[in-house]
Amino acid sequence: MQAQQQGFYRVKVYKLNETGGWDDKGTGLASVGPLETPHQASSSLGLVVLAEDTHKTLLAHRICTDDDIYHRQDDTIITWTDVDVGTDVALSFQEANGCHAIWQHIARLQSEDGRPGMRRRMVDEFESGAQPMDGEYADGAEGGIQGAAVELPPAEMGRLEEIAQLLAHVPPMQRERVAQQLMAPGYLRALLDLFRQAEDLEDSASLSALFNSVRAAVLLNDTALLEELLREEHVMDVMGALEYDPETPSGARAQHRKFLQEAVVFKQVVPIESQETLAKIHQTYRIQYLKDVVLPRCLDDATYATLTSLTLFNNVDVLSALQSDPRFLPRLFAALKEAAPWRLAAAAHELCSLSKHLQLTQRQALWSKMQQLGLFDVLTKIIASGAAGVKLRATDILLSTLGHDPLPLRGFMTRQAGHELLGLLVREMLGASDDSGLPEQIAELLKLLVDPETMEGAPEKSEFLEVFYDRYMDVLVASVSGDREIGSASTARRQQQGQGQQGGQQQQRAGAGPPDGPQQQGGEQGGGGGGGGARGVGSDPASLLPAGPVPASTIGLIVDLLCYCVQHHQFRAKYHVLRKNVVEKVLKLLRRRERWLVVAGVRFLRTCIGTRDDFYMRYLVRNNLLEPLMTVFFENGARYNLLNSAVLELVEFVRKENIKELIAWLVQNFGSRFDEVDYVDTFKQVRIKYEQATEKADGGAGPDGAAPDAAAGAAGPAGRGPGARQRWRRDDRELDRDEEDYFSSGGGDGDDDGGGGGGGGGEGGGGQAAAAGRGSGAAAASAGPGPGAEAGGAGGLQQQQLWRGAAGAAAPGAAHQQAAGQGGPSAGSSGGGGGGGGGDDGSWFSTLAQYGDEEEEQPAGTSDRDAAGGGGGDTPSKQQQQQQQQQAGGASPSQPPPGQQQQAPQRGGGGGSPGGNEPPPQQQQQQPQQKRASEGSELSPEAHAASKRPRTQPEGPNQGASGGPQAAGAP
Amino acid sequence: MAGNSELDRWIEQLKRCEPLREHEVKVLCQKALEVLVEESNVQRVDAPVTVCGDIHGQFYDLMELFQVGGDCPATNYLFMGDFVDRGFYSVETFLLLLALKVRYPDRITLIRGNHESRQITQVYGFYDECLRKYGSVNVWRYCTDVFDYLSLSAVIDGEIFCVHGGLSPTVTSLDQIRAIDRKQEVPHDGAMCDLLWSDPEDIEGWGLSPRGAGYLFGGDVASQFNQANKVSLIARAHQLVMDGYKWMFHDQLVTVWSAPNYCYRCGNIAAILELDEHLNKNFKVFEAAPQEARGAQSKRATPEYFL
Repeated sequence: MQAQQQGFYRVKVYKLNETGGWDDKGTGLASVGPLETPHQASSSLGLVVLAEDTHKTLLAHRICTDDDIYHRQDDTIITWTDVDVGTDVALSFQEANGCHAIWQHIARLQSEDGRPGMRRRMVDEFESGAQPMDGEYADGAEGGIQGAAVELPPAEMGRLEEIAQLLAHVPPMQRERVAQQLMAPGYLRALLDLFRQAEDLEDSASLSALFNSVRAAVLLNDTALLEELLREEHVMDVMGALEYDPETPSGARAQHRKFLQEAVVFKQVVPIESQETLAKIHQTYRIQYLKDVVLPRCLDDATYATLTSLTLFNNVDVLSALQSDPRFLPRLFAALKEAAPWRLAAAAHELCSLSKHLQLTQRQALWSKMQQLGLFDVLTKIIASGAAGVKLRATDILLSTLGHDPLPLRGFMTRQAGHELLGLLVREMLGASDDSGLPEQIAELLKLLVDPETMEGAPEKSEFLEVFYDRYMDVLVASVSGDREIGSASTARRQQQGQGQQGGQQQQRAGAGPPDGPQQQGGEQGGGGGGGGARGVGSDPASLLPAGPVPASTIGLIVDLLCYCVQHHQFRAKYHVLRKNVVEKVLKLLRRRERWLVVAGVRFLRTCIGTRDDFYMRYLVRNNLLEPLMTVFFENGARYNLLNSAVLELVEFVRKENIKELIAWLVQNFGSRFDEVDYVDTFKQVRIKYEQATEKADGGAGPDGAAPDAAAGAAGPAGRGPGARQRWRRDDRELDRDEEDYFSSGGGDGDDDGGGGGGGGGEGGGGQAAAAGRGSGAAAASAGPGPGAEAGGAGGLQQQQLWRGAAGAAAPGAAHQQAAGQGGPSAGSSGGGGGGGGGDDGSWFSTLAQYGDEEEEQPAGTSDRDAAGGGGGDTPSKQQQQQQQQQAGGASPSQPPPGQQQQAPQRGGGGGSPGGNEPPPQQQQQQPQQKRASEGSELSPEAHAASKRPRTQPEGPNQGASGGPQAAGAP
Repeated sequence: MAGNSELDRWIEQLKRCEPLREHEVKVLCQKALEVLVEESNVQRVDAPVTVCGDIHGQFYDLMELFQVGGDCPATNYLFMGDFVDRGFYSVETFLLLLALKVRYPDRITLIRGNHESRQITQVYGFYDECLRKYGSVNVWRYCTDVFDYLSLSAVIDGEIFCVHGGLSPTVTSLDQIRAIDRKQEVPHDGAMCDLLWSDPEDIEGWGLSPRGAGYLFGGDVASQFNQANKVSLIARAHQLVMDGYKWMFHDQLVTVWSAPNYCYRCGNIAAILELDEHLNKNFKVFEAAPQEARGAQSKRATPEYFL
């Protein structure tokens, strides 16, 4: 039965047993043919092995085409995990050509299944395997998968070739045995001594053999052996041997030893006493060097993973040792306090960045210890006066801190006297030289600092944000707009004068509020432990602005940060934007020479519109803020560039979302130019929307038909429906359908209730309250502070009514557009003013009450309206929230902080498509990542490599594991 | 800002596979923004042009590509994305292409691939490479900011639609691509995502993509798209094909792959598609650069360590 029939190949069948050994299941003839199994489709092909002697079926395996489960080892073995059998199966072929033939069969079947990728994957496995040995097959049929026991010959010069050959073809099951032999006392040393000799003799044949042997030894992937190879006494010879890659021309020979011995410097900034720890540190570096520099091309994935985990364990050991060393950390910090040369900071940075590998409790302990030792004070000092490179390291450390837990740093920054560190960061961001890399770093820091997802409470309650907004926001905005004057003072003053009311004193307060505000006092009270005082930083935010212009690249970063704030700090940001007229300031970018900054300005506007918050919309309309946008758009003409696309997208969004105020504004102010845009029908559609709305409004409002547009209803005395309510509270994310429907189906009459429906029912009562409070804005403020949600609600209602009344007064009847226009920037800027009145958050409210006071003396109409505007705030719209989230996920410029992905919460998830009028092509696109490679079908190169290389994640924006999509979405 | 002489110097330096210094990268990237912001989502390209697929940081193979296809600017190039990740020289590769773009904006077109994204590069190597080569992530930040400005697709002489991944169910006409504000991270759904992630497949209509993003689209979809937009061919990259290029759907779609021996082990050959002024097609295939051409060290190590 030795005769080889066509298509039949002699094999031994092995199955993996529970103890991890291979059971010999017999010898037989393997072939590929149709399988007759009741469960499978009759056409399925299988791999069948019939026993040599009994002709019984030793193996009947349906060839799996959906997934790549087959591995080829050396030239004679195919293994796979057989789901039907429940274990690993191996076929050891007597001859390589038999193995090859069956392998080809499998490959063909898989590629016939229509997946080109499959073929590639199999090729991959094959190609990455060992080099075939010409005509020589180490394991004959008798040896089977166990192979003939490999015995390394003694380490002698004459046998190096033999050793190399043997090592290159160790059967998998024997790896451990061979590794043991290499580690036998003296063996490795002898081998490496041969290397020294060969190198002295310039014996290139032996050197090649040694290169191959050492490389093969690494690829045995035996942890103990790897550690042995990397030992102090061996490592340089190992690296030396690895320099002699026979494929590299001798002139280009790598210089690993030279690099490791001469170029690399291990810096002990603070003495490390434990020799063991030192040895670990050196070893870690060498492992990384080996992995990244010496052998990156030939490392298989398993060995790569082993080396990676070796470094990881080493790092953890080192950190633990240093942490428990009573002297190390105190010395390090003492030295850092003395002076902060670059190396000290770099050492501290390495320590901090490695900490992420520690277990949570240990990491926690390390960080608290460092904080006790004055970490933040040290960093404050460095950033205040260090050299640029050192500052950069300091910001790296801060980033690591935030990656671990942002709360302590926020706490510190809030309490520190004069908020020195925060002020310094802002100063550095704006003023650092263009090529220092600091602005980018600090922008990232600030973004993490203001991230509400990592805050303990709502952003409205955050003391940190309080400080940030009150003291630094204005500076940031001013640096964008190029203003030299900080805060809203100038704008506000203008408004003030325009209205011919109001003494300067109140205004002063509004304008200069932040620096003089209660935070300052709070800061001083709580400022324990702060470094050397405020040093001018922070006492006057204007001093943070650099003397020269802020670089364009930094402005881009700030605009990103502002967008982030608008998206994530709904109420706080809105309040600030409206009060300080931030949009108008940012839109000065539209006149910048740098076109990408023009686009950044557009993006900020788009972000505000993306909130779908009526307050933003009214503010934009009142202040004609779409005007600069449309002007720059038409100036750009039909040129198809990013500006053109960005504006089209914005207008398209307005149309899809049916934002009536903006649609009306667009048509009324730029309708005459719509025809210029003949390359897309966006503007045509906008006009249609507008006309539909007008018709409906005419129909519904009847006598009110004089109203130029539906939006007029919004200002009209008919009042506001619930749609007008403010929706800022972030906790009420889940929206019920009804409310959502309300907004989307509002259609023609939408939230402005042209017909006056909003006035009905329960609100009547509110109306009375409103009437009572109407006298002055103070009433609105005083109505607000009700202790509980209920009171807040009442306040909200009341204010809502106020608004109605006020609006009525301001814009009797119709002509909302003009009326609103006259309301002017002051209305806009104070828009958020009374908002807190409706809120149920005491501490936040107190701040607002303050502003309520400010508004006291404003003309009643304006004040009331604004106060009321905020007043509805306790009825957040979930739809809006959701959409905001989507917005956050979609259009936002996002920069997920590296290393932070896991924490990135899912924003921008779920939800239908925005606008909802473009159904996906099939059901819901359930992101089918579970299906991925395991179920076969298309193998993306990514999926492929991911499956090969354990350290990588399957690719796909929605692979939660990598934090990808969320992180992506999370701006 | 960088003048042409400085750019030329950088190009020479990068051609030796020597990365620029960090602040030079920043200057280059700023300059690139100004160029890219003026490009359209569907960039118009005139033939003759040579169309290239994924490069994936295989710098020496890119040099091989230029050997085979001719130097830029003598040859007009269109690269269909995936410049980074996987290979060991993503930094040098991308910066070289970018420097060429800034220097010869009309002779080289770069469109965005799914790897030109912040999340993806954090997983597949570019982020780590920047960190290793520069000791900080700023270079990664500069580059990923540039990614956001890269065009999404191109049309050659109104005839050949070029995109990294494929089609999107929400894009039936090229005009619909116009109203995408592309300056953003690659989203995980929607038109922009699909253009960068979808794959052609022998199915009817649309199918779910095993990649977890984008869709699979069949020949009928491709035909409809081509008819509706009066193009004769879709050229795309995104999938490894062993022969460097692969026709599908009765020659209505072609995949071009330009990373030979992908990941240094796939054993595939690479191709570029040369189109003459009459849009006659000529594929040129090439293999991985020989070992000698590569630097002795695949990666550089940081010269100092503390822990």
